[in-house]
Formats: sequence, structure tokens, C-alpha cells
Amino acid sequence: MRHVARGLVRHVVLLSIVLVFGAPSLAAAQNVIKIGLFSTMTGQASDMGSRIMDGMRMAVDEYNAAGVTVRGQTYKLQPIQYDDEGKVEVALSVVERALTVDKIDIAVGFFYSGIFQRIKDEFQKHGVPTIDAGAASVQIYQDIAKKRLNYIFQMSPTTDDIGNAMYSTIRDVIKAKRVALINENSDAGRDFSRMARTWFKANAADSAIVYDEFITPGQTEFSAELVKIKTSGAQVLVTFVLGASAASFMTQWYEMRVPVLPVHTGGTVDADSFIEKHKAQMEGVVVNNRWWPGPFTKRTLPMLEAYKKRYGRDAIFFDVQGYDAVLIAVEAIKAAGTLDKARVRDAIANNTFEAVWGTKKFTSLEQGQRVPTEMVVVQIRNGKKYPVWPEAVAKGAGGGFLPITKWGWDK
Amino acid sequence: VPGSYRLGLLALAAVVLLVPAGVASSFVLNILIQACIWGMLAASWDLLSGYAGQISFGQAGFFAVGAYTAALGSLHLWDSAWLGVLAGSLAAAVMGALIGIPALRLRGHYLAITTLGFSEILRLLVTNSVDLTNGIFGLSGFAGFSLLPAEALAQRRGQYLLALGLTAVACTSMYLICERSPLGKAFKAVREDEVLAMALGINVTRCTIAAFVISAFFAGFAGAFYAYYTLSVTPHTASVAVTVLVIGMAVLGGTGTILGPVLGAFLLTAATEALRFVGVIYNVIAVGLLLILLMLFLPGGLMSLVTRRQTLRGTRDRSTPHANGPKPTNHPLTGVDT
Repeated sequence: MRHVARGLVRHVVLLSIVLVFGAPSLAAAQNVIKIGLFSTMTGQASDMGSRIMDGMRMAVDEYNAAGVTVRGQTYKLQPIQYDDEGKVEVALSVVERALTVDKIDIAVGFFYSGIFQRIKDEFQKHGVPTIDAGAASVQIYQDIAKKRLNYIFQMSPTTDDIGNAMYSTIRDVIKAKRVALINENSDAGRDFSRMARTWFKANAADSAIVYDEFITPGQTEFSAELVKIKTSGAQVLVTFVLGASAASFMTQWYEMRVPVLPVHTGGTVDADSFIEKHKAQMEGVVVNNRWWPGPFTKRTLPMLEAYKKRYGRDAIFFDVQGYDAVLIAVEAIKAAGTLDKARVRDAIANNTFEAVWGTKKFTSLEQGQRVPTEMVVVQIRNGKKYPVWPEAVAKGAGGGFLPITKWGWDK
Repeated sequence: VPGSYRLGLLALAAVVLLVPAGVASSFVLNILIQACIWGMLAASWDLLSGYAGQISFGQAGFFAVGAYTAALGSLHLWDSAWLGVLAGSLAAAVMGALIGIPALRLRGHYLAITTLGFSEILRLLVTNSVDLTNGIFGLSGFAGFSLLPAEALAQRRGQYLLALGLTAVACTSMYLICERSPLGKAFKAVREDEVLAMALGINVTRCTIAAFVISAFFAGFAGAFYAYYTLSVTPHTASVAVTVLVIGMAVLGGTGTILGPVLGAFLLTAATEALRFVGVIYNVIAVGLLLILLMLFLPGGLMSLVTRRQTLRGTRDRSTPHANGPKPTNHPLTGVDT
């Protein structure tokens, strides 16, 4: 046994040496753009973090297949994936590796706002252009403006974009006055709670928040919360619950027959495959679809088709955001005509990009270098999405809100 | 400890100390600094569980108390990070005393669950006390250690030397307490047989509380340093994942040794980083596999290599094992001869 173990250890050591020292030489190539793809691939938020990574990988593969030409020279994208595991200290390590060992040219992705809020300073220190595709907290762009972090760009729609759309729908379309809130206990969830209180106070003074609770990300048991919501007298239930939690939440809401209309912030539940699977449960539910998968630009429909072909499921906005972040990074390098980081930064700041989710233009540094994004809120009826807000989109797409006369479980 | 072993350790320490001079990589230094932090925390767990036999799953709680005290103090009360390290350590020690009292009535799994409950309560408290702790977003924007060079690499070198120095001070102190003081002997006696320890005149109550206080002090010490190094403290510091990580490090290195958990921390931190080349997610699986392999072939941890060698030498020298000493006992955690 000891002999076998010794042999095994020897082989593992040899293999490790070959891989450690061999890997860089395999990767070495001329005209390479090193693009750091950052996301949360393990831990509680890995399901959503993986979607951002899927979108980014697909964009990189497409660019590599087509070839990236910068000032007449052909470049290859060298994607380097980094998993922050949802932990600050791991994020700091992988960022340090990206900046000092791998020496990436540009960074894209990110998921947790709390983590991005800390590590963005490192990218700024090293002068590496960085595009946030998934971290949605308003504190990020506020910090960018305050500290003048000119290398950092928040492409992700922010919680105020998402919140405004939902609260306006509740006030103008659903016309509900008693609101319950249930959010993940995360930075974005906290933002949603805080924002709802402020928004309703300022814009719908006759409305009241009758319930406000936080749940642990990844939680799959909601009986206690749903009982309290049922007795709170709420008319709508604004909820930011993602991943595995979202499926459990919708199922339990339905099984416990809670007659309070869910208005979901989007993420997970807006995927067509999710709606198809939970068709009966989601009848009448309102979802911030965040985007309307129509032909925003000429890139939209081909990307959606290619995504479905590649992964066998529909893209959700996280996939699209990941894809768009890579797209902006590469197009900015092309526009700059160089890998010089300051010039790439300027190209991101000054250009307009035709992306999958519409045309993107970052606001000024004073405004936090973000992309204000108009959301689309939909209602699910017979497993299909009908836009209900904004009014123009709702009318154009034959949508409009249908008040609930009979809950799904009564049908 | 035999002379050759002591010399070997000194040589190893010298090599580790020389690393910053030769390595021009802030990334490598960052890994070493993180290993130092986890090493201090793992050693503090070893003092409580490996030496005193009080199975704790709440070490992350003490770590978080140190980190949050330092961060909050630096944001509102003081400018000196050194003061923060001291305050963080003392706050954690007070918390250790508070947890140590109920621990007097609990043993084994019950104590483990109680300490786990403590760190979970703390995590929920800091997550939900948004006005004080900024909730899940955590605390940032406070200053770290002053007088470090401004240039990035030089600054990292300074931080590394600081981390190494603090680790040496903390671990040497814990080692001396455990191996060279009457208190350390009392810890071991309580671990092996509480009734017998009482019969021998050892004050078990005082001994148990002392173990909690000292262990929490050094966990808080590590937590405060963590805060000033990462310049960010989030509720994750109090999570059970942190406790599991340091227990893994301690078991990997060898419990009841102080030095073993430090070695375990260095190995596990280095392996986690080194194995990133196998790919995202696969690296985590690879670390898990490495741990399984090491536990299969080295169930007593890295330090068992040393003790095994000593035992073999003793066998050769005296031809009969344990001729001049007691038969080794099974360690309560690992079941391995100590």
C-alpha cells in the first residue's frame, strides 16, 4: 500500500510540474488580447454567476471564430476565467493574480456588488479598463463618481433602474396600495428594500409598505414568510429571490395559496424555460423582464438563437449582459486601435456600442460611468409574456395588464 | 524537540523569511500573507480544540469580532491600526470568556453546536445591523497599517514581513503556553480525562475558560490583521465556511501541535492557488481531492511525519518502543497516536 501511495504521489508531482510550467508556454501566442472573465462560479450565487460566464464565453468564442482585427492586425482573445467564490479574500487573490501574474488587458463580468465594490479599486490602481456586467448596486456608480474611478464602468442595470420600473408598474398599472417586500439579504436586496421605501414615500404617498423581510440567498423554505405575508393584507409582493430559491418560492406561494400578486425583480423567473416549467404557478404573475427580447439591434436575435443552440436553453439577461460586456470590451479595443489601457478606457467612455441589449453609451464620470437602462415589465399569461410597462412597449407588443379575477389555484 | 528538528525548523523559517527579498511578485506575497492569517486562526483553534479538547465550531465568530472591532474602531475612534489589533484581540477575548462559561456545562457535539450557534448569531447580527456594520455590504474605507511604502510591491513586502512577524509572535506565544507552561499541561490533562485532572488538583473551570479566552484572543488578533490587510470586512468573516476552512487546515497540519495548523494553512492556501490552473470550479474539486488523499495517507496530518520519524528513531535507538516513556494515546480528534 505504501509503495503504491509513493508511486502515486510521484506521478501527481510530475504531472503538476509539467502542467504548471507547461501551461504558460502552451498559452503563449503573438497578438493576444488577454481578457479576464470574472464571476462567481462556486458558492450560493453560482447559478446566476455561471450565466454571466456562459454569456462571456460565448462572445469570446464567436470573436475568436470571426477574428479580431485591430489596426489591420489579427488578434486572438485569450480568455482567463476567475472565480471569486463569493468571498472578498478570494476575489482579492484572483484579482491580484489577474493584474500581476496574468497581466490582463481588460476585465469584464462580476456578480456580487459587495465584492466588486472592494475590488474595483484594485483595477483602478493598476489602470485596467473594467466593465461590470452583473453587480447592480447603486453604491458602485456613486463610488465611481465620488472617487473618480475612470477605469471602471458599470454596464449592469442598477437596482434603481429595476426598482423604478417595478414600483411604477405597481402604482400606474396594477394600482395597488399595500405592498409587501421580500428580498435576498444581499447588497442588491438591501438596495431594493431601501429604495422601495424611499420611492413609495416620494411618489405614491397613499401606498404603504406592510411587510419587509429579508431571506438568506439560497433559502428554499418560505412557509413562515408566506404565512405572514398572507395575513399582512398586502396586495402585491415585490420579490428579489433568485436561483434555486426562486423555484421554491413560486411553488410554495402557489401551494400555500397566498392571494398576493408577486411582482418579481427578474432573474431566473424571466427565463422562458422557467416559465414553461412553472406555467400554472406563474399565471398572472408580474415580472420585471428587464429587457424585451425583441430586435433591439441587429445582433439581438442571432445571439439568442446561437445561445439556445449552444446551451440548449433560453438566454436570460445575465447571459446577455455577460455577452455584451465582452462585446463592448472588444469593440472598444478595436476603436482604440491599440491595447494601450488609457486609450481603451477612453474608447469605452466616448463611444456608443451596438450591443445585444440595445445601444450602450456610458454616462460621464461625474454621473458614475453607467448605462441607464429602460426596463420592460411583463405579465405571465398562459405561459407567455405580455409587456405591461412601459406603456409604449405594452401597446406596441399587444400587452397590457389583466387584473387577477381568479388565482391559478382556483382554476 | 530534537536538535536536528529544531535546526530544520529554523532553516525553514529563514527560507520563508527570505522569500520576500527574492520574490518580485505581489501575488505570491498576497498568498503568503493570507496563509499567515489563516495559520494564526487555525493555530488558535488548535489551542482550544487540539490542546484543551474543547471542540469549537465558532472560531469564525471570534475572528469576526476582531475584524469588526478593528474596522469599526478605525472608522470612528482611532487612527492607529496597532490599537485596532489590540482592541480586536481584547474584544474577542471577552467574547471567548462569555462563550467559555456555557461551555463548562457542555461537551463534545453539544459544545460544537453551541459554538456554531454563537458564530451564526454573530453573522446574522452583523448582517442585519445595517446602520452600524453596513450589513451584507460590509465595512470598508478605513486605513490600514501606516508607515508602509507607497509603491505597490514594496508595500506588499512590508505587509508580508508584518504578517510573518505577527504570525511568529502569535504562534510562538501559543506554543509556549501549550508546551512550556503549567497551563498547557493542564489543557492536556483536561483533554485526556477531566475527572482525573480534577483529582490531580487542576481547576477545570478556570482551565476551560482560559482556553476559550486565549484562543479567542489570538483568533481576534488574526481577524483584526485580516481587516487591516484586506481593508474590507463582511459578514462572511463569521461564516461557518471560515471555521470549516481553519479546522481543515488544522487537521491537515496535525492537531495538538500549533505548528501543524500553520503548516496546514500554508499548504492549503498554496494548493488552492496553485491548482487554479486546472480550471475554474475544477480547482475547488482538486483541492478537495488533495485533502482526501492527504487524509488517507497522512491521517495524523503533516506533523505526524515528524512524530513518526521520531518514533522510528526511538525504536531503532532503544529497540523496544516507548521504553522510557508512556505509550502514546489516541488523539481525541484524529484518533491518531500522539
